[in-house]
Amino acid sequence: MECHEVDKNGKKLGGGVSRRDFLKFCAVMAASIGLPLGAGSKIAEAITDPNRPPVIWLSFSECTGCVMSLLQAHHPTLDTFLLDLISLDYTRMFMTTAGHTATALRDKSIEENKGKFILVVEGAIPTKDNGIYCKSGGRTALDILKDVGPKAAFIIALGSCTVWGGAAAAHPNPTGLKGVDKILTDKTVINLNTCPPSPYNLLSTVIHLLTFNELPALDDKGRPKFAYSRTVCNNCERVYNFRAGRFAWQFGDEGHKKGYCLFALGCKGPQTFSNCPSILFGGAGAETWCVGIGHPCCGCAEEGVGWTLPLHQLGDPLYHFPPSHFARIDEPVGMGATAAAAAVVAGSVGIAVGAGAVLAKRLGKEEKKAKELSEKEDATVAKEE
Amino acid sequence: MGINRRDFLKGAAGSGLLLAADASPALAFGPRTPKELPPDAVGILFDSTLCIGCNACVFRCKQANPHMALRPEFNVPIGGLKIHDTPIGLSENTLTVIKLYKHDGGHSFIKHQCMHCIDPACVSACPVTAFTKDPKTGIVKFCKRVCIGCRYCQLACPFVAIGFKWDEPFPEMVRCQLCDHLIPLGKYAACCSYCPTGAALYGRVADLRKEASRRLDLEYGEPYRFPVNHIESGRKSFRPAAKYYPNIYGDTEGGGLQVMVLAGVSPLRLGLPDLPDVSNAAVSEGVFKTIYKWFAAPIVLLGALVYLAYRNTEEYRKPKDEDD
Amino acid sequence: MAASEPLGGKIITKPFIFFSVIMFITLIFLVERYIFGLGSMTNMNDGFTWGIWKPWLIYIGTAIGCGGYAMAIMVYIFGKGTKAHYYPLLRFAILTSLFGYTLGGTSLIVDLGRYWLFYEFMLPWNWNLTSVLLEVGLCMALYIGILWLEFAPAVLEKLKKKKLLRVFKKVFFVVVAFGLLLPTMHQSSLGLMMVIVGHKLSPLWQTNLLPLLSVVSAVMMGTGAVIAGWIGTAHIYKRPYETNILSRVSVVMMGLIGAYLVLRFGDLIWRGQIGLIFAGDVNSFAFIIENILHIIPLLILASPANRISPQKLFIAGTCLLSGGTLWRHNYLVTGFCPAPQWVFFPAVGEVVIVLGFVAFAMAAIPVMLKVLPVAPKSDH
Ligand code: SF4
Ligand code: SF4
Ligand code: SF4
Ligand code: SF4
Ligand code: SF4
Repeated sequence: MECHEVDKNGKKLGGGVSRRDFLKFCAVMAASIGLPLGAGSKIAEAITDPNRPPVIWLSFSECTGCVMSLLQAHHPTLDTFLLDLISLDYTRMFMTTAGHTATALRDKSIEENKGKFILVVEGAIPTKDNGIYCKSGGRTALDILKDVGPKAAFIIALGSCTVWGGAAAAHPNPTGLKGVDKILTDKTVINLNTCPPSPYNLLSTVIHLLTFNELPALDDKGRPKFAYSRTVCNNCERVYNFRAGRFAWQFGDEGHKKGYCLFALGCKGPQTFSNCPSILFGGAGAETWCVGIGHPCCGCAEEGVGWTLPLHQLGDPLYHFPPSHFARIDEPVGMGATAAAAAVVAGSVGIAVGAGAVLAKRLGKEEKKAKELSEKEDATVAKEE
Repeated sequence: MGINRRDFLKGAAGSGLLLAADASPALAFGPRTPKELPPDAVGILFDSTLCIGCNACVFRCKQANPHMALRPEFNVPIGGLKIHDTPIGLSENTLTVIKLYKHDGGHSFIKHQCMHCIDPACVSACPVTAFTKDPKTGIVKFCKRVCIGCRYCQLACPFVAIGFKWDEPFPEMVRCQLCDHLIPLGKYAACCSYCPTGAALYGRVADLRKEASRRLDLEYGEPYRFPVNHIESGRKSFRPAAKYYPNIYGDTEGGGLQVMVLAGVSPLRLGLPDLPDVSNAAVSEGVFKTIYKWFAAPIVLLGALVYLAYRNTEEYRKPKDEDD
Repeated sequence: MAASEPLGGKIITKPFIFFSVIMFITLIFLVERYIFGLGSMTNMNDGFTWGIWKPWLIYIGTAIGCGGYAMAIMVYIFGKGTKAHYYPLLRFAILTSLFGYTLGGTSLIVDLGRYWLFYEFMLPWNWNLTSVLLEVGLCMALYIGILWLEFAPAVLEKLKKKKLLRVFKKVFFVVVAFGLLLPTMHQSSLGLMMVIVGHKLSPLWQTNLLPLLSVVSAVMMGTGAVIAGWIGTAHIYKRPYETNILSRVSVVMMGLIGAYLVLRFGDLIWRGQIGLIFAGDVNSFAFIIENILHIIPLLILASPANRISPQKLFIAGTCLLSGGTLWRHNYLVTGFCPAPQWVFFPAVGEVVIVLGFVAFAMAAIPVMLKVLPVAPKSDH
């Protein structure tokens, strides 16, 4: 870590990155977790603080896909992430040490940073038969988690397995896999769903924790709202096809080739909450996510959808809130009164009524006159007589 | 020119005759016998609980009827295809539309279109027989060739399902004809053949009715294989049943409809009218046919009137001096 | 014929010019209608598909034009022994009918969306025998012809075609009989036409009695038009008011108004919809005014003194006329609601067209009165 620049306050700066670029990165980071612009400098401060809390990374029943996904990150790259941005004190995957030495280091760091460190858990926890199906250093995953969990300041469950069991816990779930929040029931667990999880969601969460030392806003399922508050459809580039009813009906058909919506192929986008379409995977460029490459979303981010519903069963747009362009039942149709039309109608009715009234009045007068005249005549006749 | 009591009474009897000619049957009318559903009639079952509001039906309908199937002789796009617009209701450009019903607890979609009444008011109303009901498929067809544009059909249709090209100097009426122009091509209603969920399901009305009552028997949440597109297509969508409002709209409403609606809420809240089980056409024709049965009443009345007029114009018929 | 004579006088008068201006404005809108379609100058839509043209020009126009029908009933049914053929107001009444009906028929050329196919209506193989509109259309077309025949003596007299006139008089009773039958048929059918709209019409008006009410109301409106029209004409042209005839007519009228009101309210009670009167909405308001306009003439005519007062007769006649007009307007426009979301108020052009037709009648009727022997002789 020698090569790092030191700024005027004596703090380390990102490896090989100019201060300008670094601040830019922080600003982008702030934006991606939905923080105001000014938060960028606060982030810069937090992640360059030499005393920032360390991260302990525990791996249980998993496939290492989460880490593989992490490896694909490119903004920042994994090395920047691990070496400069966070202070990773233990991870089974990237440590040069192994075995008891590593475990000892881990335990040391945990003791030293008790109540301060961030715990990242990767992989589900077998609970059947006292959790004997996953062991590390002679201890069961269950045991380790129950031991380490309470000592952490924050716990991040990374990946669908860790959240609720994911693919590993698919029916019939022989080892009784469970998610972290089912085991550490008295702690708030930050759930980062999807299989594999997005490295950027992890990074953003960690940085949020480092910067503000508090949980990001979570939804009722413990997922950070900045990443999981909208359905996949909401950000999907094919959603305009959904709303126009343009579907791919079979793999390879015309609609599929044209990039129509995959709903009819069983896409679970409408009922899955995740930011996959906007944050993408693997850093390979535009449209590199499931639907982008032509496969329906399988709902990996949603308990009860991914590995539970058949892959090509139609999704259920439970959460597809109808956009405002829908005609309502009582959408008014037709033209009401305009001032001009009302005036013409009122005018014509007025003239007709007025003419009638005038005529009636004149008739009345005439009658009266005739009456008077005849009375006079009668009078004269009477006089003459 | 006094009018004496006897004459007055006589006259009153005469005018009573005029009125009685109208009144007696009108008071003693009954609706004419309702029309029967042809056994092979086709129709649509719209299940609002399945509809996701994707508008595929609206889009495909416009595609299948470019500037309306009603005039195949001009079946070329004129002035651009109005395919992806956002219609607010049925109109001369829109034969079917998905409308949104929103309430605090959620929302439902409803597909509006011609309901292909079993006893259609439009057929009964049109003076020039522009509307006909196909005896086999039961599809209510429209032939614009004879239509004079009186718009009585629009007035009569309980669903306001007929559009008129208001902004054209040489207009015509348009409405859904259940895509009967696709049937000879071996296809069926475009809206159903592209509905991904099976919310709009095509098939024989008899089958659809059975399907609908099966659905009403489902428990809330019970998994069910919902047929998609065509009831005989074999395509199924597997999903739990929603909570149904226990009514098949169109089973009896308005004398029965070939386009039926199932929904989670009362169909009346989805903008469908509350129709009696006897169709308006049957009621109207009941009165009409009673008055004009065999044309007897008018002929009897005419006879009486000729007699009265003859008697009362006696003097008038006599040549007068001043005329010569 | 000693009974009728032309009024004489200048043809081009100030009112004539005024009405001609209105007709000219109407022409401009008509041009727009034929070039850009109905939608360009009306607010009609698929819901309120009839706008105000059919209600006003056909329903109300022909009902006003039932003057000839109503008078013919008075003359040929009530008229035994009253020198029926000299019945002085008959020709005047037939003239109003002629205008009511001919203009109503002409308005179809404007109103029909596909007017150039009008002949399809006349082709028997196109006829749909369940269509009430078919009955109305054919019957009305026939009646317009009958009306011209009924009016023919006036023209023949003017042209001094004595022989023709004599032949004509021999068969006149057949014309008369048809002149009584046809309006009974189509006026009732006009009412029946709205039965098929079912729930779209408010229960205050929707009833199977519409045909019957329609005929009764047409007779009342026609009579109202003759009473008010003749008193107005007589006042303007200084002719005798013929109150003795009118008073006799108004006796019959009272009976009809009574019958109408009994039917109207009886029907509402029988259908259990009477409560809607007090709903406090536009419909109930319209209903109340409509019926007040029917009750006022009943009250006025109840007194024999009023029956010979031109002013009271005029007021009663106008009320009857407006009451019937409002009833028709209500069951075709006010009480009509295709579905809650539909909105309608006539556009300027729509109203102007109606006014144009009215203006035509207002300009042409005086001309006819002045030129043809229509009005009763003043020395009568
Ligand atoms: S259903 Fe799938 S493909 Fe279609 S918009 Fe939603 S996420 Fe995209
Ligand atoms: S819905 Fe209307 S247009 Fe369709 S068949 Fe029935 S009456 Fe006719
Ligand atoms: S508008 Fe045409 S189709 Fe409709 S009733 Fe009139 S003639 Fe028949
Ligand atoms: S049946 Fe055909 S015309 Fe009718 S709504 Fe469906 S697609 Fe449109
Ligand atoms: S295509 Fe089917 S699901 Fe889509 S809006 Fe139409 S009826 Fe509903």
